Amino acid sequence: MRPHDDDLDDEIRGHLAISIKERIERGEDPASARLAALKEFGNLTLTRDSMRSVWRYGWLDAADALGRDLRFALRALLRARGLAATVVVTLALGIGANAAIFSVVRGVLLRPLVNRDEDRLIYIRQSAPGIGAENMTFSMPEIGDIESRATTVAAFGDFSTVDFALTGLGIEPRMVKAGVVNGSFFDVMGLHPVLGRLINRKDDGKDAEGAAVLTYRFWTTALNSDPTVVGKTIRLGVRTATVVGVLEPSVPYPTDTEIIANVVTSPHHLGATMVTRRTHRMTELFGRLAPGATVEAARAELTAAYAATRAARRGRRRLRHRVLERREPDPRAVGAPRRRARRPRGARRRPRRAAPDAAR
Amino acid sequence: MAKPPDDQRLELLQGTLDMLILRTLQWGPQHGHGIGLAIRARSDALLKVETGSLYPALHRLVKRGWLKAEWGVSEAHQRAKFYRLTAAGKAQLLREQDRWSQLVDAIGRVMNPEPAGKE
Repeated sequence: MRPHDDDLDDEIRGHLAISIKERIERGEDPASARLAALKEFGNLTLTRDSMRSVWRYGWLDAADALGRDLRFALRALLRARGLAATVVVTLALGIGANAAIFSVVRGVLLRPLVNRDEDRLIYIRQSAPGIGAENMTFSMPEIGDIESRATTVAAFGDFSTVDFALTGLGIEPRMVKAGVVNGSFFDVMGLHPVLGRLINRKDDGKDAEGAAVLTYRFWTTALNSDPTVVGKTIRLGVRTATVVGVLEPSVPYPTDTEIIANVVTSPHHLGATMVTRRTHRMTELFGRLAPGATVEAARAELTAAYAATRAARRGRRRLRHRVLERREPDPRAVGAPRRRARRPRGARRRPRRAAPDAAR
Repeated sequence: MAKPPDDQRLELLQGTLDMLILRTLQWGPQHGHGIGLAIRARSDALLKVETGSLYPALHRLVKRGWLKAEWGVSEAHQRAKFYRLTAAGKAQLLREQDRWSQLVDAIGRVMNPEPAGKE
C-alpha cells in the first residue's frame, strides 16, 4: 500500500508540469512559468518528506481535529522555552538534500544547470522549531561564527537583497532589485561572466570601489544586450558603482534580481545594524564543500559548530547579567540612594519559569 | 476575479483541510494540483492551501482508506495521480460536515450571543 519513493517524485513532477503548462497557456513565458511554479510549490524536500512520513509513522486517529488544536496549545507552551536551534544544510540547487529530488527539479527545468560542480554547492539555513522559527536566513555575526569554525567548507558566499534607485546606462531611472554579495559568492556558486568579470575578493571591504554585475536577463531586456556596457558608471541610490561584467544566463537563485553588487554599494550593509546585530537576519549563506568533504560531513560539522557558538554565547550572556546585577546599588547598603515607596523585594521580578516547570 | 493579496488570504484552520479535500472530491476524482485550485476557486481565492500541507494530507487520507489514488492522465495530457472518495470517505465527510456545523454554531453562540429576554 505504501507508495514507492519514485511514486512520490512522479506525483510532485506531475504537479509541477501541470502548473507550468497552465501558466504557459495563460501567456507566461516558459522560463518564468517554471520558476513561478517552483516558487509556488515551496520546499520540495520538506513536502516529500512529510508525504513519506505519513506512511512511516502511525498517525493519530483521524477525526480528531480538536486534538490538533490541543496540540497547538501545547506547542505554544513549549515555545516559551525556546527549544534547541539548529543549522540546516542542504544541496543548494537541488533545493533539497538528495539526488532524487534534484532530478525532479532538473527534469522540470528541462535544462542543465550552468553552475560548476553543482553537487558541491550547499545552502545553509538555521531553524529554531521551538520558537516557531523555521528555515531562517542569517545575520552577519552569525555567519562570521560559522565561517570561522568550518573546515568541511572551502568557501562561503553570502547574498542579501536591497532595492536601489538605478540611474545611468542611458535608460530611465528605475528601482531595481539588487543582490549584495561578498567577493566569494560567484566563485562559490560556480558561475561565469559572458562579458567582463564577476565580483571577486578584491571587491570586498568598505574601501573597495563600487562594482556591479548585470544579470543576463536585465542586460538583454533593459539594455538590449549593449556590448559596451562594461566600464560604465551607474548610480545606485547615494553611491556610484562601475559595471564590471554581465552574468551568464543561470537559474536566478536564491532570488531573481536585476543587478548584483558588492557590499560597498549599500550603506545599509556597512552600517552597525548589519555588521553587529545578531538578530538582523537578512543574509543567505552558501558554501562550496572542501575537497573530499561530503554534505553529511558538512552538516555534522556546521551543526556542532553552530551549537558550540550558541552555547558559548549563552554562557557569556549569563556572566554579563550576573555582573550587571552585582553593580546595582543595594538599597540596604549604607549610603545607597534609597527610593521611596519601594515595592517589597522580589515583587518586581516575574516568576518567568513557572509555566514551563509546571507543565513538565 | 481579483485576487486578494497574500496577506489577506486566510490560512486554513487547523483540522479543516481534510474535510475540504473530501468535500472537493465529491465532485469527482481530481489530482492534487486540481484539488488545490478548486479549494482556492470555491473560496473566491480566500483560502490558500499550501502544497506542503496538501500532499501529506492526501496521503494521510489514502492511508486511512478514505481516498483511493490511481495514476491517470490530466486534461493537459499530463500523467498525474488522481484521488477519489471511497465509501468510507463519503461517510467520513458526512461526519466531518456534521461536526463542522456544530462547531460553527457553538462558536457563533459564544461570539454573537442572542440578547437575553428576546423572542
